[in-house]
Amino acid sequence: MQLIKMSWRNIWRNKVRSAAVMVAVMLGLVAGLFSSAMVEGVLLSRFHNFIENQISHIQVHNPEFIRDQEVFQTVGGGQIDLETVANWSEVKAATIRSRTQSMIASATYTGGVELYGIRPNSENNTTNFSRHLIEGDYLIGESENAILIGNALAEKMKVRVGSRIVLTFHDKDNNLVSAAFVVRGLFDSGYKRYDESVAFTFHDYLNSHLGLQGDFHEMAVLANNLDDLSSLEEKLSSHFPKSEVRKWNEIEPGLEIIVTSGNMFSYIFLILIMIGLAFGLLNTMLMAVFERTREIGMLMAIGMGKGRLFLLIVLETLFLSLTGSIIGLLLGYGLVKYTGRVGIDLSAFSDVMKELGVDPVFYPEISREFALIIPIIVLITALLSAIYPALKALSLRPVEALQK
Amino acid sequence: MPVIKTKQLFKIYNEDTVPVYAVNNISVEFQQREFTCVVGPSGSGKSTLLNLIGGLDSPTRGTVEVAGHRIDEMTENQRINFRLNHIGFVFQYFNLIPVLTAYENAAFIMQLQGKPEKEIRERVKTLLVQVGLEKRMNSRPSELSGGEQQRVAVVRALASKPDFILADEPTANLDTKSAFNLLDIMKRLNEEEGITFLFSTHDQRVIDRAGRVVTLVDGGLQHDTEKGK
Ligand SMILES: Nc1ncnc2c1ncn2[C@@H]1O[C@H](COP(=O)(O)OP(=O)(O)OP(=O)(O)O)[C@@H](O)[C@H]1O
Ligand SMILES: [Mg+2]
Repeated sequence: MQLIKMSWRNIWRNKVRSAAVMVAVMLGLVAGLFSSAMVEGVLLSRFHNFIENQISHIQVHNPEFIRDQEVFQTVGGGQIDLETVANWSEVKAATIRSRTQSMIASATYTGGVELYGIRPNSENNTTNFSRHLIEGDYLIGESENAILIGNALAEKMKVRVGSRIVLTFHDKDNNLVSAAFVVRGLFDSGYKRYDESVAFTFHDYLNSHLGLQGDFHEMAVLANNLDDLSSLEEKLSSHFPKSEVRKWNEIEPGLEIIVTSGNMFSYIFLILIMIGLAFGLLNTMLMAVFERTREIGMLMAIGMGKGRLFLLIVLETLFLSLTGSIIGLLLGYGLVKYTGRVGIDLSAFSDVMKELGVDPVFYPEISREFALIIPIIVLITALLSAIYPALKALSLRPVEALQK
Repeated sequence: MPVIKTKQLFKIYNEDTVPVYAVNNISVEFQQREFTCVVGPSGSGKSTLLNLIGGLDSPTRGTVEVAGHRIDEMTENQRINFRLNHIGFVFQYFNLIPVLTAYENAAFIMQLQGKPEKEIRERVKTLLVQVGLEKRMNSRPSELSGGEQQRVAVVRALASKPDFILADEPTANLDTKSAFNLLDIMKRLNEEEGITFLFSTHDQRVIDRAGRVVTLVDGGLQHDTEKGK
């Protein structure tokens, strides 16, 4: 008890110095937490965007299609399978697609795009695609040769809604087929390179050109709950025994790197802050020990044991660091929570953000694991920084220390 | 049995080059209740002798026995613990812990010893009243005069009832009045509590109040005189 009182009062002997350390620790933690949370927020928004708007949680393909992307490498079943899967309780939404590589041509431009035959309603339920439309209409209504292309591509091709364009591709027997489409709508997904490389038409219409029946190349499934993914994957595997069923991280292994690199950034920030903290504490505590040489000599002379002396210095270091840390962590968490709720609007830089595939408004967040680990690491850092000053204090010999 | 007993005690600095005999072959005993003053010119070895007896320093040769314990043979940690439980210290300065009040300082050793709070409170308050500090209990050392600080130090040393109290020039930083006052208090506690005091000084007027005077010259014991003998 006495030691706690002494150590707490001791840190206030040099008010300015202790306050400076505390404020530095506090600001360091707020800045560190917030920047980690920004990076996490940007990366997670990228991650969710990608999963929810593009690849979905699970995809089903003919295993050969994954390798060769030949038109005939389909999964049979079509509409019936889609209805079955979409009705499973674990499934939030599902859709099927046909896919083919094609040449797209207007009067002034020729280029390659991947042409998707989609089922407009289920596609929209799964990827919420129609929200990207910025001009024209989604795939509805009668004209079955409607096509949606990216705004970026439209600009390159110098076409508009209502323009007529021709796409050329191979059918399932490897015959070259040309089909004319009318641009029904333009989309802007926020990710320019993607917008330039894909186009969407009706599944049935594309299939009729490809010579396929109700078959599909790809089924995309969105789960209700990320924790169910593995069991859902198994269920799909037994429903499609000859097909390859893959989760998002198998489809795009790079996405896992996004998640882990977000963590890595956070840990690098944390390590830098901890190095600063350790040096600050070490320096301050060494000064405190040197300033109090005679007093420490007196304490040892009158019978204060080494264990208690060590504890005194450790407690002082802990008080010094934890006071600032607790305030810093609370402020930092508060700031992250607040900005995580209202979001940070970087529309001013929206061009850059689009290139990165990030929404201009993003929400800083920190993982629960990271939030829990910070206080522990702060504590360990403080304890480690206490050791050297404490040993210095113990190494004093009372006779000499008293004479100083 | 004497409280303190040294036998052929030496403390030699720089023994290999130009040896300094800070303590030179001192064999002396101090009995229970004695009120002894160690005197001698500057550099005569007073502090060194007291440090050896207090277990703060280890002798080059010879033995130091306190209440039957050979403290020269103890390890450093054993000596710290021995000091805590058997020896009271009053230094010339830097006696008190600046962040604790007079009461907390005076109670510090009993607290380190793990005595019950109630016992500590009774004992420390009684002693603080005896030395005239009842109004200063909650003052920090920086708010106390030099004499008051030394009185707190005496109470701290005495409260835990050690075998004896060592005081190296306890009055050196005090004005004459405070010095006498402190000496009177020490003398009274010596008589009332039966506690053995061993202190050093330069001050002739302080020497006059001692029951026994041990005179050192060049590290050696020159005179050992007792009043009334
Ligand atoms: N660490 C040391 N190294 C070398 N010599 C020392 C050391 N400490 C003390 N001495 C010497 O030992 C001798 C005795 O010193 P000590 O401090 O015991 O004298 P003292 O009687 O207490 O003097 P003072 O009245 O000035 O306090 C002196 O000559 C001193 O120079
Ligand atoms: Mg001296």
